[in-house]
Amino acid sequence: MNDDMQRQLIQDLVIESLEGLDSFDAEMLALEGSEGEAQDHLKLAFRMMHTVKGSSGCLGFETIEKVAHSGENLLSLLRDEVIPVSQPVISGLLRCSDALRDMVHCLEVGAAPETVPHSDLLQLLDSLQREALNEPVAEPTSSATNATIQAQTGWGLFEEDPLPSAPPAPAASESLPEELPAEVQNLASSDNTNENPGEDIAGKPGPNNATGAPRASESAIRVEVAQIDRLMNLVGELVLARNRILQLTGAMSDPALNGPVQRVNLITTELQASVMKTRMQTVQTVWSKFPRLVRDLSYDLGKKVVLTMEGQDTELDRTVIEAIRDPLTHIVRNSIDHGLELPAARLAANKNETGQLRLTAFHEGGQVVLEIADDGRGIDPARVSKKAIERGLISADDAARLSEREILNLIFQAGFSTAEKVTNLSGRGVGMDVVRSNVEKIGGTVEINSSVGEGTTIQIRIPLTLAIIPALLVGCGGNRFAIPQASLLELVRLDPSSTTRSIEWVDAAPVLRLRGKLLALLDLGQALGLRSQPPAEDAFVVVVEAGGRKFGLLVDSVLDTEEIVVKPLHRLLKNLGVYAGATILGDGQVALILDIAGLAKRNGMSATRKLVEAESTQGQSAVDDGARSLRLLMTRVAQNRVAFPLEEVTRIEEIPANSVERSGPREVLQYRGRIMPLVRIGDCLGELRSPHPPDLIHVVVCQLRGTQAGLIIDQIEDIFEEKVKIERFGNERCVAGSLVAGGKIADLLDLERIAEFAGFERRP
Amino acid sequence: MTQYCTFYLANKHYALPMMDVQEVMLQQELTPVPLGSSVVRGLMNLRGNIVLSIDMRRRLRLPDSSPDQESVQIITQGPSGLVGWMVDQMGEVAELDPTCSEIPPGTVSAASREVLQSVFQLETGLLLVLDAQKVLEMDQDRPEMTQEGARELA
Repeated sequence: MNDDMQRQLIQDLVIESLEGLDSFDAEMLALEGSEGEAQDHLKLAFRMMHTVKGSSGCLGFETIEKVAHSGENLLSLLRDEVIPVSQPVISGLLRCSDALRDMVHCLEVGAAPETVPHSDLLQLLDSLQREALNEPVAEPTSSATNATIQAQTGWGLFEEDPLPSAPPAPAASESLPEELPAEVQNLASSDNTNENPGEDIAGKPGPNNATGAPRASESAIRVEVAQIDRLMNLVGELVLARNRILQLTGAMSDPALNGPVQRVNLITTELQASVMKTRMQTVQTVWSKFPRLVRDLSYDLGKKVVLTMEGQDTELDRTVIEAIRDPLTHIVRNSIDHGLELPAARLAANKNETGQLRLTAFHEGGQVVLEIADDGRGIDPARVSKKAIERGLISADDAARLSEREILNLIFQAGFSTAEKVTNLSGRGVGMDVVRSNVEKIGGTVEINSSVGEGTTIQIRIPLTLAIIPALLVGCGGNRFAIPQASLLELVRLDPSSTTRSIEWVDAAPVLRLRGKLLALLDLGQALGLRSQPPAEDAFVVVVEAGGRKFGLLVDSVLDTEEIVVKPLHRLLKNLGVYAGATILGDGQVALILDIAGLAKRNGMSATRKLVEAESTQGQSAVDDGARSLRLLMTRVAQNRVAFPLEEVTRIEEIPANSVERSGPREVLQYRGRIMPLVRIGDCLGELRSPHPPDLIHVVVCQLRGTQAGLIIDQIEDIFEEKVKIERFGNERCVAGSLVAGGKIADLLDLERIAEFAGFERRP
Repeated sequence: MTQYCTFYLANKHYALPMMDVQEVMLQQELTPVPLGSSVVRGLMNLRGNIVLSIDMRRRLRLPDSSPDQESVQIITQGPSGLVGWMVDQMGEVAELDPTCSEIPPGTVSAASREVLQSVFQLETGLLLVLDAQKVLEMDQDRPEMTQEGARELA
């Protein structure tokens, strides 16, 4: 843990604890004053004390933890009605809160909390507990304790006639360790100030506050989010006004005016950025709870886990932070509970007995990426699909058709859980579906990658902020609409002269044939009742995906992309279900933001999609056993058809045959500033050579045992996605088997065997 | 005495308690809301806040005004955001004693009666005071009166 982070954590602890202790005092006073339900106050007070104990324990401040723990013990007796609420007990608890507050102030100024005397307080709390339970008081003479208690009652906040401040000081110092006289005075005197309940206890000078540095509680204030939103609105308007002034002055070209206008321009930009920044928090605010969580969970489960966190400083909007808190916690729990193995199992699997859990956060493409990676047992697709079939989520036929990735995604389905035994942490079939829906609610996506035995990585991509999102503006029926970029996949302009880019009809539903797959279309103009005639032939298709539905939205024109400020809709428009909000565009006009998932739902796009999928699989051979759906790159080497699994292919390059060079026995190519070894697939398949070596050769770039390599083939034929059955006739080297794709027989390459054949070393 | 902000719709005199009114602005360009109720005329930008504009003629099932008729927006702050009441014309501010309100006479249409707070008999005629809350309580499932329907009623 670096210093900055440590400091940040401590600062969070300070602010959190001081607030908690203030409310703790309020609850205690309400309890003493018999306002409302005693149990309610006790529960709240208990929770606050528990939080202070938990957070300080988490950061290793044992003294604070110990004091809070004693307070908590006493509170729990009160809560469970083992002992009655009495003034001495409440006073003791308030004193406990004071001591904790002093200790927290110590932390704030960088002093050790141990310098705050607390041993007498611990004894006091202990004796209060024992006394109430009629147990003999432990070590100190009961007279000393009684004296303390008496003194305590003297400081009661609601004493009508407070005792003179003299008695408590000697009483307190009597039982204090001798070596800390200065602090004794300090504690005693600060206790005395409690006579005045109106005085802000947190505001008085704490011990060791000589540095004069501003306190966290003073240098930070709490501002209502609504207030910042109002600021944002005004700044947005200022930006619009600025834009108009810039346009006007640009036309006038008056040098005397240009200077001030440029200044206004710069200041406005900076103001906007600053206001945005006030809403930002680091991802650390969520992560700070994880070390404790991981520690406790791993102890409970008997696992050894090391948690590493990278990119804690990554900033996110407050609202986004709130939205990802629960999903992240859930994933972390899952990783420890299901992902990481017990030490013995890890050793048996040739791994370090300590499991790694890594949290990473970074910015990428205007989004924030959060990764939770473990090096546990990974997710076995076979087990997932078996479970999904058992739970009736998919049929056995479906399961056979799904790719490995699609199978992994099944864990996001509601009612899915592979945990063989239900623990109190996870495995109850609620969770990953909630994770996904929570993340999608804020315009994010969840992806899962896993390899059996090596671990699982879950990647969450979320927008930086919910308040400002990048959006595509489209025109339809004379109106402008904003489509959040998060649900945008691609844009296609229809071209009536091209068969691949014109609308086709399946029954009454328009579809587009996009790279060989049928895509259901929804005419936005019709869906919103803006026009009844069909869209123009050269309209645009905006391919979108939301809520697991992918479809094309037909619009009249594509206008622009813009960063828009999302504003909520009035209640009267919310239940339309097709708008996610509204925004004010650069020209000051209002535009509606489309709710893609809502549009799809309202227009039954999910049903259409099924129909279209069924349609697209028609005409293919009946499903026979052992058939798998594969994406294949079909190539030709001499007279043979050779298929590559497309997911293994990084790139396809066309290069002049004479750019191939040699290094030792190997053919190599200078590729992107590096030397890339080449393998002739013809050689792998048994000295296949085309009779006329071409001038241009095709290189399929892929990874062979962790090394980037180029596989030379003669020609690229096509890309297929088909259900294929792989059959083996004998043990040909480098070939996984034969299959029929596109009506022709091809050999499916086995890259591992090719690596073996070409003598590639295994690299980590 | 309470202040009322009065306005006219199809030559009838209406009012809103002044407490509910934030400001009055001239008609602005509106962004229509497709699929929205016909009573919702659209959205407009008021200094960075989005205002939902309600056509009060349609809300009270009065005939639509002619397209070239100018209108005014009375901005009110409701519990769910700003709402602009689109009315024909503003009237005076009236100071009236709420205890002097009368029982709505039988000539008041059912649509108005639903959203009425009180009625005053002025020298110039009846003044119908609307309840801002009730005006916004539109039945979501019941389609509001279409323009044709409104014309028929008229």
